[in-house]
Amino acid sequence: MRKIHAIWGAAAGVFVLAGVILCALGLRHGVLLVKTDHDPSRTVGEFFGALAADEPETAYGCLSNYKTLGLENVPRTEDGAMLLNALRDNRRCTLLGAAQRHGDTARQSIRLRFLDLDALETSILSGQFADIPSALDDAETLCAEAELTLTLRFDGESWKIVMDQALLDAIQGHTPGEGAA
Amino acid sequence: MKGKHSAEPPWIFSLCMIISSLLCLVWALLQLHPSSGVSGQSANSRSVNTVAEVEAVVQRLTSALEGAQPEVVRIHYSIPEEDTVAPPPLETCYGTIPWDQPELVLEVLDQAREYGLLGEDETVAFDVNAEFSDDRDIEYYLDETILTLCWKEIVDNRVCSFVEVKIADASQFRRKFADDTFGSPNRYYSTEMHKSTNAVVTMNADFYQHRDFGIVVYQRQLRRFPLEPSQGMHKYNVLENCFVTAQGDFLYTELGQEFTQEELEAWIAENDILFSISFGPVLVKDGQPRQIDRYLVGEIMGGYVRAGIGQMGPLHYLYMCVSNAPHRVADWTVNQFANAFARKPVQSAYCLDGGQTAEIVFRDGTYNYIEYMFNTNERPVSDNIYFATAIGGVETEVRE
Repeated sequence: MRKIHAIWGAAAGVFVLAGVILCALGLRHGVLLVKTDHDPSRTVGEFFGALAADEPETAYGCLSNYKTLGLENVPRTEDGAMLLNALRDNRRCTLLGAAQRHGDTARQSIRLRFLDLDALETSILSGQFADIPSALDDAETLCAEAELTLTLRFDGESWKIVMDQALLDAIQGHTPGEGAA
Repeated sequence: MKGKHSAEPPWIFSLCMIISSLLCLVWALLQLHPSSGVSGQSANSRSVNTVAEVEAVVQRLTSALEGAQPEVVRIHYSIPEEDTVAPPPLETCYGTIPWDQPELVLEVLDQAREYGLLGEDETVAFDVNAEFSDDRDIEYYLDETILTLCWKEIVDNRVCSFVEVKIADASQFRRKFADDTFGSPNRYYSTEMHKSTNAVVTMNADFYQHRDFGIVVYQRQLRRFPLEPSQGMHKYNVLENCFVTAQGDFLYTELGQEFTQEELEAWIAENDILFSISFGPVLVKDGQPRQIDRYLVGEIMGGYVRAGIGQMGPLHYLYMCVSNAPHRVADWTVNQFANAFARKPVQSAYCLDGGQTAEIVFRDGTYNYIEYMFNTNERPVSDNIYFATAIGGVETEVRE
């Protein structure tokens, strides 16, 4: 009978205990995933790039909590189509610094410039512009800017934007927090 | 020497192995993804319609620039065709008005106009100047989808029970067969069927199971088309048949009108017909009473309890029943009944099974006098028609 060294015995105990902990965590959390090196800010860029390129399905693939923003629908009116195009063409996203990662969550600050539909409505109703086409001729003056902090979540494969009301408002041409009239 | 060869590795090597293993373990733990267990639950599920939002801006601006009212979105209710039970009526929507204060009904009608159920100038059959019978108060049910008024009126010294119904959607006018099955041998009291369907008001129909002639369409399907000869015609066209379309309109076939089964089925599909009633004859056509001297059912030349249903306009109906009452006998021929019916503002009217079958069920009980078993009981029947509320049914946004 060979004698077991105390250090080896203790080490075996530690490994067994670690194995048990990992198994318990596996049962509780499911499949173990491995962190990605994918940069969250790339998702933000992909999202706004897809919106600018009129590729709504690609844009929706960057979102974690929305299956559609309804951008694939066809406007019923000519003015509606013009407004939708103007919203798309006047949207500019600037990343403000690098994304801050905390585990599977990240935050990315952006500055978003967008066509302010509320300002457009006011300008037409006040008589500044006669109608939607003439207002859009001067769309630059009707743009607004907002600084937003986007939350992203890693879903196991890639980072996805968690769409909040502020971002939704801005994408739809409203001052964040004010929403549609 | 052998003992030296089998000795434990140097302690420094053991320590290195343990430290490196522990580092591997710590690294693995750090790679454990905190949200790995919930990654499948964060599936994107919400949706918005940005195009609709943009169109709303266009609509508002267009309306403002044209001086028009902005688009109004209202909810339209309907009952799925396949449902055999309607949404339950709301207890708070019932009301009773003393028979001698009929002017109070005008407030109910005003409310119906506010709901948009009745048009501002839409004609109603209820007339505050009529001679009301003192044996029963006026009953009503009103919500945003249905107006039902029940009253008793003296017409030519007979007691006539009326039910005026205006509905918001054609799906609220429904047919009930015993066990919801064509050909069921079972019969039920109308009060039982009324309760089981959640009807606001239930009326007798043709008692189709009681005879083997006439066309039966139920749930859009042709269920009875008897080709056997009868009185020089066929059993299917020896009666004038009434058909109710998915738009709630009445269509009629004439006596002796010929069809093959294929032709009739095509006609049913083409006219979007939901169900039929086979008794007749047609009492009122284009607002004028019809006078006929021969018909297979209903003992038309005798004086009996009579019942019929008429259409006043789109989704607007009037049921009329002349019943025996204390000191007043219901002894109208079908032609007399047609004359009385035509004095009401109906475009067309159709005779239903009368006599012991004639019955109105409103709220928890019968409204008219029932002829069956010397007024002691209802007659078990195979079918009836009913009107139901659509509140609680399918909601659809309508933009106006």
